[in-house]
Amino acid sequence: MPMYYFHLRNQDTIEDVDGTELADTNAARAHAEVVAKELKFESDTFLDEEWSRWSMHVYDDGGQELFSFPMSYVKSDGNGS
Amino acid sequence: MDVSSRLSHLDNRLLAALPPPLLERIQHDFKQIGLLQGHAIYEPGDQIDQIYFPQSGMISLLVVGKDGGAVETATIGREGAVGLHSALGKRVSFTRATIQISGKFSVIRAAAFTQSLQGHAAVRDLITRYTEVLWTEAQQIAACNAVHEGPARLCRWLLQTADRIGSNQLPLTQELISQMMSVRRTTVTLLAQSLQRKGVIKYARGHIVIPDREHLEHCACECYAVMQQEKLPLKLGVRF
Repeated sequence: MPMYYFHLRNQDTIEDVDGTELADTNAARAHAEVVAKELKFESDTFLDEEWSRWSMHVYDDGGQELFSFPMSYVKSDGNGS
Repeated sequence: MDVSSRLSHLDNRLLAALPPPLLERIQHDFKQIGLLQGHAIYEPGDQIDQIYFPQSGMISLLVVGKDGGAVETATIGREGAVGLHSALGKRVSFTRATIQISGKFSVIRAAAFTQSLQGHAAVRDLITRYTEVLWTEAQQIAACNAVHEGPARLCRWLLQTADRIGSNQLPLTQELISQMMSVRRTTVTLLAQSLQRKGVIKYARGHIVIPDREHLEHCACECYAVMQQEKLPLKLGVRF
């Protein structure tokens, strides 16, 4: 299965150094949304930074960006579990 | 000489709290064994036949769901023991207990430990007090999981783990942490990377180092301070 990488960006990048093996781009999209929800939890802050300023950028193994979305697009969902 | 080979039964706080003459007498009933990460010591429903006192590693208790998924509900290191209540009589494990961090453990058969308790009210009392501490932690963790955000919970968990094993170097994969927090591995990687960016932890595959505990404590939820293993017994009026 191909590897996908889920980076977070505003001016900086938080890099998904490990990557995840997934079946296809649809699976990568579903994975990205779950991860974004888990990262948001109840509030919009993480260590004093607003998640709404960040966006998620998904790359394939060849370094090609497949899609991206702003974190504010994701609805918070309890504690993410 | 390897540092871990110098560890002894007294590196476990509960064993160190036993009356010395008693420990002396039962010492030959103990085995000192090394156990590796991933090794399961009990499954739910198993008769608890041995009691494990960590000297260096950490044991994780997991509630196993019908779908086979497991969620960590407690961790035990050198401050405690797993299966201790079986010393009061035959007991069955409610959780799965696995080695989360490899290390050295003092192990004794439950029956042998029970026998050694005859006439030692102080030991019975120690078991009761330790059970109170575990019960308090379980209450705090239930509240923490319900209301606190992932990053703060991760920081709390890393600090607790460092205390359990007595080291700021934590041999933990993102996979283990994701299991513990019930989130995707990618979520753990991104949280760890963002903590690293702030200089709170150093993270490499399979290894987390805490260079600055104070900074990490600042990022953790209040539950770390509440449950700090050195202070919790005293807060409850319990002495070891």
